[in-house]
Amino acid sequence: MSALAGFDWEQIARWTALAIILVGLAQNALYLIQLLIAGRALSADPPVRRSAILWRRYADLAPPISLLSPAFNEEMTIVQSVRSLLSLQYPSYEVVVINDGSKDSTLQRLIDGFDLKPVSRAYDLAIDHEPIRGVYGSERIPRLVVVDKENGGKADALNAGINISRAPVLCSMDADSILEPDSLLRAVRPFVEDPGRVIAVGGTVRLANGCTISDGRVTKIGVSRNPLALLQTVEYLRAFLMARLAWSRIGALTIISGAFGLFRREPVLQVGGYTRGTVGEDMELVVKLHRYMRREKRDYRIAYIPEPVCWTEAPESLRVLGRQRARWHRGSLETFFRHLGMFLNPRYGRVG
Amino acid sequence: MDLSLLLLLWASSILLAGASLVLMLVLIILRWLRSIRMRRDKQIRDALFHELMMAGEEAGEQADVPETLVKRPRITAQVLLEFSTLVRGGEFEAALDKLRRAGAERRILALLTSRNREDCLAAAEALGFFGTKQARDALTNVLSRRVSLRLKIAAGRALLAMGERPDIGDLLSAFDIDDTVAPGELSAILTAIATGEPEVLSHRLEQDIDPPSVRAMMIDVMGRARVYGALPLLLSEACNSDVRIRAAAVDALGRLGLPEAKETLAAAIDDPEPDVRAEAAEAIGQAALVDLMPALEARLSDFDWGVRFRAANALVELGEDGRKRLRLIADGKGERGARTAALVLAERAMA
Repeated sequence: MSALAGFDWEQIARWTALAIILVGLAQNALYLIQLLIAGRALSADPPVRRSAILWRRYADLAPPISLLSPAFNEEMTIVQSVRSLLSLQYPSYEVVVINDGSKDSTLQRLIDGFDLKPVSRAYDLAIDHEPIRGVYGSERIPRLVVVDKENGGKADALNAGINISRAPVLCSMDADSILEPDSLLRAVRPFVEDPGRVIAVGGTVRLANGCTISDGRVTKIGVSRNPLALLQTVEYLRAFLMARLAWSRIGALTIISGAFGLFRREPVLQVGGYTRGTVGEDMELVVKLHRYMRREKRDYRIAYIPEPVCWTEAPESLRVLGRQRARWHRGSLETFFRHLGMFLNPRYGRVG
Repeated sequence: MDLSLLLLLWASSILLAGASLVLMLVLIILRWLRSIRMRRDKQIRDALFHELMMAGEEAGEQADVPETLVKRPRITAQVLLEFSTLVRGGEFEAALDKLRRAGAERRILALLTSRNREDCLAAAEALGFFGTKQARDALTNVLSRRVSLRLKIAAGRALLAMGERPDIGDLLSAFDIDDTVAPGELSAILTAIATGEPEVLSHRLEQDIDPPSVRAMMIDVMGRARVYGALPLLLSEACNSDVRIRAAAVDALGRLGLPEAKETLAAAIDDPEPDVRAEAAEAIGQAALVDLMPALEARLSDFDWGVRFRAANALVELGEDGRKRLRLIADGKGERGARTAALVLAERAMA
């Protein structure tokens, strides 16, 4: 007690208060700058509201896309999710569902739901992943390919999907994400407008809590009554519409949500696809792409579109939310330490 | 530390919080006003769409579109663009006529100078349907103004849709494209030119004044439009120093499928760039150049999967001889070649 008595507590309290206020002010200043950049970006390039106009403008020019949907123990929803993926508005795309060694009857549901048969498909082993047990296709729906493989996690499943797919642009997503019908048409815009430089595109993910969902589509936008979900709704809007839009504008976007992201196939293969065994594989891939493109001195852009393209459910209990956030932060730290060489390294510019 | 500093910080924090609350309130009011406007816009859009749909069914004398429905040119332009994706021919012309009589064109012309870029784009695209002198002049004027490249390209596309044939040199100099940012939309304009006046495109390519990305795009559209007269040009561009141009030229040669390309394709399949080799392999299959079968076989052990895959597919395209060779390779010992051959044969159900 006598040792503690020597401290000037009043002085410590003042400095602590000052530090808290300054950190708060700095954070708010950063948010304000992001808000201004995002506002400028939105007014300079306003979203196209009507998807028929997008179709008219881009349908003839849009590159083929492979939609990669990894699934693990999704027997309850998989058929409905895949049906919704097959009805997206896009002129040329294939849906590659990767059954990542599900323990339930996910594969059987798919086989029954889409009348799938085992097929042979030529593919390269460009990226490592757990062995593929079989590939299934349907005569009725030639754009659907189902890959059955040993369990290896989401990154591993996406790598298998990348090897199997053939389109020059890949779209990675979560099996439980709900895509807007025109999501691909909206997200492909930067690839059409700047084909020489754009290597990846992210889009706004919104929370489906409180929304009405039928037939795998959000039919009515609503707000959840759960306070945790409400807070996350505001947080998602801030993170996506403000932060990510601003970071992409200054060429420093380091994450494209795993729930929805488009990538040019060639650079993804060059960096070896997703890193297996990571927690934040979505962030890690984007940072790897930055690193590779800057090292190769290639002119590139990782773009972001503010339009909502994807809906996902947010956790509504503290326990699940805590687990999710712990996973996200572990992923961020893992990526940070894995690419520590980029930190404050002028060679990597704003990303560093 | 002086207490007054802390007080100052507290006071400024409270001031900022107050300002934030006021700003939030303003934003909420704006949002509310916007939702009212959007509801009204939707009503106008639905009513206008209905009027246009009815135009084709009104035989003889047509009822005019009420002026209130075309007061908002942004909505008129958007509805017209949407309508064009659903209806064509006489019914579309009847609807367009209705809009003309209601003075929609004049209003859309004014929208072309809006500060909202999306509105400008919609206006440029919609004006392409009207085909009047005013619309033509306004769109031509856009090409010389200091506006975004996207708007200029939209104006160029609209002029071509009107049947205008603007000089390609003028168009490309108006776009002022550097090599890294050639937009994909440009290929729509080049396709229209390649289909209508391919010799103009050939002449432009011969001049060799455009950046490589634009030249590659020109070659690509000539291949897709099957411009057979461009064969000599494509043969020479297949040896260009830029890989994008070489790949596009080889791809175009494949689309033409002429035996005259044999020697060029035989050289291209040994190109140092995998993109060119892959295009050459596919082109050999498309042109059915059976003499180049050994070159395809050799490429089955290429280090690049794209080349191996396309070479195997080309062998399948070359008929029974090609398939036989593929089966032999599939049964052989070459690791890469045997795997690729076996996979492609299995996929095409010819194992």
